[in-house]
Amino acid sequence: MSEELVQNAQGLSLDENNGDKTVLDSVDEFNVKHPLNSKWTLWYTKPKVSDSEEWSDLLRPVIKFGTVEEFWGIYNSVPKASDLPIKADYHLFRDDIRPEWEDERNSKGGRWSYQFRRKRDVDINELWIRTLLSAVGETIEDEENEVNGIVLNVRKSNYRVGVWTKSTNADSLKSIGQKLKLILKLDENDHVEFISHADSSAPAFIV
Amino acid sequence: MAGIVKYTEEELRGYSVAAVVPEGIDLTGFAEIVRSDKFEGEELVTRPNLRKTKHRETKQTDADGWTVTVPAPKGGRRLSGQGEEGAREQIRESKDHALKVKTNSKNISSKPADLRDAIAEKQTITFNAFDALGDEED
Repeated sequence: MSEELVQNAQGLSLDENNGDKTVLDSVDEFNVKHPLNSKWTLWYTKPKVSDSEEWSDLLRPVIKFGTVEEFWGIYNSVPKASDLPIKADYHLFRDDIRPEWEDERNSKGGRWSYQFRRKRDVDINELWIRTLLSAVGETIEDEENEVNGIVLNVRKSNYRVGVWTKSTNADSLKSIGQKLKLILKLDENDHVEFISHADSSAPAFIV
Repeated sequence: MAGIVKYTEEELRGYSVAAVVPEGIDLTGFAEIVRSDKFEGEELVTRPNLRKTKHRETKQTDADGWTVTVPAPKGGRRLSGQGEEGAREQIRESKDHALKVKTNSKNISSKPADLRDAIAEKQTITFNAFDALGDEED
């Protein structure tokens, strides 16, 4: 009887070949993904090179994703912010919201933005990934889904980072502006400004 | 209602080792397009005097035949450097001051409305005193 038990137990022993590994030891086998609060779509605006090109010709969705792991896979595969051509934009917007004022989910909102005028002094790749992470991780806001998307504009003499919101309610938006300042590593003396899409003649407020 | 799913920057960076591109997606084509755009843009910048910025009026005609003329941007709060978005903002703002002109659809043609007008205009533009002296047939 005891010999029989020993023989059966031998097959259950943890040996070096098959017993010490878990799914955590192999990234390939670890298929658990971390869902984001929303799905997000990456958009790209190509630079305008001809007068005949309309805005709609230039703006294109690149890819949609819904998990942290997919975010990193995409981030690692697309050109970095510093590799974008002048006059190009990246937009990361929630779900199917188009990065345009005309989208009804943007039309009653506005945007926080900050312009970096000295491009050579800015580590735009680090600042852009911080902005991306704050959006997909939802740490840029307190209210759920107040932020519709984020935008990076690459221009000849500056970079501009923007955060688009669905409303213009100053009470809920000022904390987003404050967080944007931290994300972009701005000083207290630097200010981000909020402009309503409906009235872009002047900033509605700054922080 | 389920609570909002949040991740700190540190948490998200920690998951970067498990990066995966969505199944069936190949982003190399997109990366190539961006590289091509950049190359094309740099060529335009280095090519001398081939592209000049002209501030032209923008005309848009709607289905009813109304033509809106949007004045060209002039200095001031030029949102240049803010690209398409800035340009679109300007157009939207300037639409408040746009001229609206009703176009007679009968006149939307390359032919002159009155042939005599065309002849008169033609003569004015091409008038040459020396030719006129020796040409009596016209």
